[in-house]
Amino acid sequence: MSVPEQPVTAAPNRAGRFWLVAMTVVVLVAFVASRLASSSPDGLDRVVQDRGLVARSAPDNADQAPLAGYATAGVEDSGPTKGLAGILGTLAVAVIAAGAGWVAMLASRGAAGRGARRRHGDASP
Amino acid sequence: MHVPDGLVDAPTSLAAGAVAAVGIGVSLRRGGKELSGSRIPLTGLVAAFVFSAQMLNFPVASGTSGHLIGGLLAAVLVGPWLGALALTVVLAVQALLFADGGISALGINVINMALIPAFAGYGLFWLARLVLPRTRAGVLTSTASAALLSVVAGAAAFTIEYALGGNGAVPATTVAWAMVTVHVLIGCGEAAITTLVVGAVLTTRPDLVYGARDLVGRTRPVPELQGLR
Repeated sequence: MSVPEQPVTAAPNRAGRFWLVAMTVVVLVAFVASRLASSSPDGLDRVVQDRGLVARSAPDNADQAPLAGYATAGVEDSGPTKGLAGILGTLAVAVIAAGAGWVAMLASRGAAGRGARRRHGDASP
Repeated sequence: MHVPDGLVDAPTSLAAGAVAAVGIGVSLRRGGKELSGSRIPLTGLVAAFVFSAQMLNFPVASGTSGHLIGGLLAAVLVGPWLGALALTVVLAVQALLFADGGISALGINVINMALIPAFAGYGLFWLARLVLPRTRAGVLTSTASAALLSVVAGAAAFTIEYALGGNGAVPATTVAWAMVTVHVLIGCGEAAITTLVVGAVLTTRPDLVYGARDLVGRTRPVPELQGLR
């Protein structure tokens, strides 16, 4: 089913290209999606509205959150501003998630010592 | 599917926060053991993609939209432990920086959109893979069905949380029916996007798909493998 001539582990330049393409896709999606997003309520919001569920009318931290409503404060409904907010959030998520993973890895190495590498190569899906 | 502040009462939200904290703690421990150099940037990339894709609301019915949740996607790409962590980071940033999803409801949202898709969803993916052929098509079929069911499972979980401590006099059965029907539609979008992305990564870097690790090498021609050794 898969392409037979692909190497098992990608060559360095190929790996670099994957990360470049992937990061470009992510930033593009962030910029475009945050501007084009449908303004209709999502599934849960729709259920809340239609069935008369009770929630607070605004988020508790609506005034404190720097990018509340996916726009920077004061310039709402501005397409480029929303795109920028989307990109800022995306970069923050990337850094925090990778950082959390890094800390978790160091912590597990510290706890389990050299034995931690045993688990690698597990072949079940 | 982000639960806003005040929709579920404080005791239920606190209990959900405790459950979520345990789930995150276990995920950190188990995920840390599985991490190697290349999975760290991949975890960041997956979280970033899920965050950006979640902003794209697609219409599902008149006046209703849905968006990717991405928990199953993350679990298939980096495994359930790191997938749950990636989604937790997405949800925390959304709540803290974007006021999207209540801070008081963060535990509920972590359960519904990080832990359930990553663990129940990945469990379904794994079961489907056991039944289906060990091929690219088998992986993608498992991905699509588990993605759909992961969204419905998250919606069902919200219904349980609402039944336990929801504000409002609406019967839980009414909420359950409304939540599940609309999230079957949203789940179809989830299945489409998830399958598209997993298929794309499977084509370019099959070694980066955690849920298809068993296919890497297995489908390679033997002479080439021997030549590498």
